[in-house]
Amino acid sequence: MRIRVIPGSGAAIYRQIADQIRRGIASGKLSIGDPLPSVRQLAKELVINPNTVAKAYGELTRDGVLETRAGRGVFVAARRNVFSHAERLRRLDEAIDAVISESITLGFDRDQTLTRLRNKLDALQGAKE
Amino acid sequence: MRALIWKELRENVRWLPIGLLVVTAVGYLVLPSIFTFSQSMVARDLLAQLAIIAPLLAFALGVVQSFRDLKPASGAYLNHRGVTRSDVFLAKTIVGFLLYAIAIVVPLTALAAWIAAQGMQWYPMRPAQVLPSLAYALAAFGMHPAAMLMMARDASWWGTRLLPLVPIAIAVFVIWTLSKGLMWAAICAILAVPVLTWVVATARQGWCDLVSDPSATKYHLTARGRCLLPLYLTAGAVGALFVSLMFGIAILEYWRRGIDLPEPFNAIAVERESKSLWMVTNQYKYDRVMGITRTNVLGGDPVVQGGQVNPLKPVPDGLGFDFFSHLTPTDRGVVQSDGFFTPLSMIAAFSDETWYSFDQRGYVLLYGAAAGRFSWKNTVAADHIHSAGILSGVPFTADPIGLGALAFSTFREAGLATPLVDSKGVYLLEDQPLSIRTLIAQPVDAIGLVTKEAGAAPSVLIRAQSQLFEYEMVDGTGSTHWFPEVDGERGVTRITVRPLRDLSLSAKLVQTYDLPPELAHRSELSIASAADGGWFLTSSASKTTVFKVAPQGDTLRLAFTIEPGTSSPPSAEDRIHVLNVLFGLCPGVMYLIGTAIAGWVSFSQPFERPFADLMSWVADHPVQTTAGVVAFVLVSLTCVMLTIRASRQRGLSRRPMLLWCWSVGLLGLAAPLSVLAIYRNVHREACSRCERPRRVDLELCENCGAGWDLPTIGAIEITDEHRSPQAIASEVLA
Amino acid sequence: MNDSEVIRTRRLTRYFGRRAVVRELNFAVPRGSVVGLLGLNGAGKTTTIRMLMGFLEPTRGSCEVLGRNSRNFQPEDRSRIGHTVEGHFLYPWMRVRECEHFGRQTHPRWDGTMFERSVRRFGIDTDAKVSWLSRGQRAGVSIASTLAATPELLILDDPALGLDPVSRRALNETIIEFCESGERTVLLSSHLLDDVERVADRVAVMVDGRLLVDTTLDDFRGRLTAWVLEMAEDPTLVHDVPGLVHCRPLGSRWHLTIANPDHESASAIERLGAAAIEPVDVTFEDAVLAYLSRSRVDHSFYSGAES
Repeated sequence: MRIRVIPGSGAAIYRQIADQIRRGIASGKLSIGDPLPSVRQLAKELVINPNTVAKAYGELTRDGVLETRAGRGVFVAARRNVFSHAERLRRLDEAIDAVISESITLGFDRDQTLTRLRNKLDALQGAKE
Repeated sequence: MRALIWKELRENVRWLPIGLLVVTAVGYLVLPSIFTFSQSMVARDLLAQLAIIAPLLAFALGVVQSFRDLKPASGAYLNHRGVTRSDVFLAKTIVGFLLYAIAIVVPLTALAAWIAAQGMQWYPMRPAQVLPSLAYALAAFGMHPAAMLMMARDASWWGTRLLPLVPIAIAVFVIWTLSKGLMWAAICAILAVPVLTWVVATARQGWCDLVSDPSATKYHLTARGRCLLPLYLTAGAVGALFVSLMFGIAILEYWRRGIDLPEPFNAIAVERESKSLWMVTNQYKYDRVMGITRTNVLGGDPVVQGGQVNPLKPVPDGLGFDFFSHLTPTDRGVVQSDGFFTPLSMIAAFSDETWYSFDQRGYVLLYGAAAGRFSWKNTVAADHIHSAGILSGVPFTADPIGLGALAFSTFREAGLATPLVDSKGVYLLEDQPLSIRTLIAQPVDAIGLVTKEAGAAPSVLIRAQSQLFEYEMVDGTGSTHWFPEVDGERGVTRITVRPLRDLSLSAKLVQTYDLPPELAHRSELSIASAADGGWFLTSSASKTTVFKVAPQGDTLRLAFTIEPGTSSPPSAEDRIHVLNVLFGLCPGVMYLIGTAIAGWVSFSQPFERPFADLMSWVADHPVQTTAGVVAFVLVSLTCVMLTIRASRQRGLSRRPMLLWCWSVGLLGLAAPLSVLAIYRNVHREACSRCERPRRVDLELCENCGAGWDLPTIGAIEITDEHRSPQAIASEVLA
Repeated sequence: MNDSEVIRTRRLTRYFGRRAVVRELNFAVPRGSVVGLLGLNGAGKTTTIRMLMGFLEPTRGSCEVLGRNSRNFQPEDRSRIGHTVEGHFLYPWMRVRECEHFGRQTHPRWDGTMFERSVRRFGIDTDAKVSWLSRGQRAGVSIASTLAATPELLILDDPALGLDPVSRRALNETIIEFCESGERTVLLSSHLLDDVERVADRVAVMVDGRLLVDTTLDDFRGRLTAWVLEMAEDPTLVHDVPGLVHCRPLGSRWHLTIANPDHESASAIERLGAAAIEPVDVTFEDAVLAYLSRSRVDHSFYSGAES
């Protein structure tokens, strides 16, 4: 997968990188055990400060999304539950709250939102299979 | 260093053609023209032309070489490398010197080569004629480092920015005035080396210290053991003051005296009829119609042994005076025309237009028109005439024609040709056929003529050590009565001159005298004839001691005094004069130098008594002396005030300020000027605690000791916690 | 000065005549970081850099670079610092090859291959004369000569000024490559905020000779918040808001940027009596512009005063 960064946007560059890797894993473009470019390599590729890449990798490693194997590089980690069940529920609710408030602002009703959500989940399922 | 030199060369080599062009043009301008004989002399004219051009070239090169690399961008590009500022300066100086030397040496060498190739055939020139200019050009390169120093300083152009040019300009000027003749050229070249070293060392120090634009506190270079620059600038201030004073005095004197009103002066003279000694008051007067200067006798009084004279007493009508004539020394190198520094002169007595030059090797070279161009005709040696191109025979010891014209000026006034004189004798040079004949063969230290009765030829008096020899000039018949009557005014040099050829003159030794012991050591003697065939002798034309030498050789010492209030120029008039005030402006160091010179003179020349002369002048002129001293004190007080003001403005502390105030006694007005030039401007801001102005370049307020407040901007600073301003403040205090 | 800082200034102040151009600057650059030095023209960036390089003496205060006071730099100290001059000054009469030659002779540790590589990245013919080169190519030669000297610290004075997008990218790549080891440090003065956001990890903002921001990029963003208020009147005229960096009109609304927001500033904003209060995202550009605009509003704007 290809990561791109857009300076000057609302999100910091390290956040953009972390989000894209998370999305890549969620969409199946990256699977467990896939290697990721080294910090230097990615920094060179994106023309950004290596510390920024390191920070993004650091956050993802802390969240259990990536793992560092000594001397071999950075890999997509097996899904581990680094958070408690309650915490996971709280995070999910937070994300769903954002979707709901946005859909109401945009004037979609309950069914339309649900259908949309279901289609997305189906598509993800299909992509994985 | 090699890279820097290469860079400077590459950058500035484009100025070389301009320099070469200018110097070549100068070289061309000073060439004598082949067809229209112009009195153009390589050595003299070259030096005169280079007087301005060589320092200007060096200065311009210094400015263009430093100008660019002092700008922030190119300065940073050059200096961020692993090079020192000293390297940069030295590279610039070396390359500057190289380009300057090429621009000067190449055209001058070409000129010398051309001269060597042309030889002396149509002009008495030698390749060595470029040497004085080369020596001068070497010294003039000092303007290059001075220009770089000027560029490196950031003083105001209206202030002291140009001051670094002053000391070197004065040194270059002195060397320029000295650089006459070959020996002096060598001395100048030797003198130029320490001068150049000094200015290069000073400019290097200035360049290293000043280009980083240091603040006033870091600029106390003396405190850092770097005293070259302050010394140089002080020298500049003194020099500038001295030069402007000289100009001021010259302008004042010119304005005061004018040129149409010469002052009367006293002289001793011999009355023509009675042949008695008089003291008269003379005044020169310029006759516009005749274009000559006449001597007017305003008054006079006969001298009585031991008596008093009143030189202003009206002189009865019908009296005429002969003045003392000077015995011309033959060792002074009176060079009327050497073709080197002085132009050719015409020999008036010759039938064809003939010019001569005295070659340093001791021969008189005759030049004249031949075959449509000017060319070398003959060489005159003391014993023989040679044709052009040959330099041999007995050489003269000095320019014989120039000396002869001086010693035999009475001949010229009577419309006669003048004999030749050198320290080995008197000669006659005749035209048609060209010949030289020795008239008197004996050592000549000094020579002069003593006027005899009308119609009789003057006697020739030759001094050889402490003896005087009197010769009579007799014509073919053995008579001395061949001398033409001097008609009209004396002192008028005639244009048409009668040759001496027809007279077949010879000289007859009449008598030998010993000089009075009082005069034996005097080099300058004046002489006039007395009634009984003897003469009066004196060491100087206006002294009140005269020796009368009787024909038998007995000597009588005549001493007399001038009636008070009647001497000229009037000495009694002792009143305040504007010059006294100007002398008050003169820095004390000048008086010290004057005292040193006077001390040296009184030590080395036992008959000069400068201190006693000065003391007697002071005793005679109480008003002028007081005026001078008062002016000096007043000027010094003003200078002390100015120095204090300047020191405050420059933020000097108490001790250096006091030192500078003391130095006013030596430096005068140059002291405050030096303070302004050496120290940098100090800027002040109101202190937040005591509200008095405080220096911006000091950490603590000099009035109340407060530090500087951190600027407050209203809590919008964003810094990492561990490096907050408070943390840093505590770190600094610790 | 501790070893982890390559640049440290202490109350660095510089006057030109009566005018203070840099005031009481306490500034530190940690080893291995890329610091973007931002500020308007005349804010004192170039003067600061000239003092750091020892080309200009401070009026008071001091600065140390690589552990040595800038006033006492020796040639070997200078050779450890790479510096590009504002506007990428080069001798116009030199050929690119001669620039390399000149650099080789004036720097003790010259890396010729590094020069070759950097020059190639900018697409420059080494036989070309400097005066024929475009601005971007000149920047390339300048940066190549600087990097070939294998410095520990790079001080770049507005290297991106007037560069085309391709050269800009090449410049950024070069800087990233230079500091990838994490041991070498870059101080970069620039007006291009996007580039700074990409390559820098620390940011320093100078306003009128004073250093207002000196922190990591993320800390800087994180400590600024912005609100959009709907009100007719200029909020700055109502009452002071603590930490207000800048307030600018957006049509009939007002955009307020607040530094280090706390309860006090929040309640002060509420008390402004706006019809609507809406928090908005702060991009890096917004944050810097808020600081820089402040200078233009508060003080007279002078351009080119540094040069």
